[in-house]
Amino acid sequence: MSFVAPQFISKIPAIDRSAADAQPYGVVQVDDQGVIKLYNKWESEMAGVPISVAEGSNFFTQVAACTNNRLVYGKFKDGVARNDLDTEFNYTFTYKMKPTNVRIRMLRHTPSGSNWVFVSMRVA
Amino acid sequence: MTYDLPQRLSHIADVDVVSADTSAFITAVDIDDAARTLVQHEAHCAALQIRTLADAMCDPDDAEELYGALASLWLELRLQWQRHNDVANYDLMRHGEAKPIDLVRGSISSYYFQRIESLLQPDQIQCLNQRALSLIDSLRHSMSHPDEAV
Repeated sequence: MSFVAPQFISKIPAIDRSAADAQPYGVVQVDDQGVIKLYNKWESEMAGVPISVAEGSNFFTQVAACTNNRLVYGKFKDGVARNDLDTEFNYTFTYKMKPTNVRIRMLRHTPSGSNWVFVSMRVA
Repeated sequence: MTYDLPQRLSHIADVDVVSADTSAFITAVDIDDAARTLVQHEAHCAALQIRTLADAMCDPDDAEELYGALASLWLELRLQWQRHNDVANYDLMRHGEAKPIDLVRGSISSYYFQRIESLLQPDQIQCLNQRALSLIDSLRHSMSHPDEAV
């Protein structure tokens, strides 16, 4: 079962900043290249990256550099190319932080063509 | 303007500060004594190498060379971090868990290049990040498509 509630998913693509900030996990909307359009408060605090810096930057290569590999960015690019992406997996972050276990869900909302990355803390 | 880059560089590799910060990374994972000793030793060696660099280029005439050396050191640590990050996450994906020592090594590598960034201007940091990203992407592409390599 995903850490992202189906009710929240059902609101895509009409998720605004206040709805995203109300979630107890990271909510990041990216375009097809991975450039961040919406970066919520939880994600900003967890990563130590101000929202103003994150939005407009590439999530996979500039903000969450840990994800710049085939395991994450590769999956994202493949999913966008297929217009079919919904995957959830365990991951660890070590980029400018102590080792942090997370769970990541990447989702493409096909009708709107919007892409979403959700990040939650995970107990190892 | 006083030339204090060598002093500031030595300061970011101060053994007491590095030991305290390294301990914080270690306590974040469940690591055995042998791995803990090894990773602490590696962190101290890295600090020593940074201080050695600062001592070697301590004259104001060396400023340009020291900035160049800092850029190389930053890149070295950035690539090191990339490797530790990939090893840990491929292990996690394949075997369900990452080795704690790889996680701590990743945090320590990025800790050092983040401290080096504290000595640089924002545009210098941006330049380093862009160049590193471009280098990594281009090397990945060249290795997987050797027929296209220049």
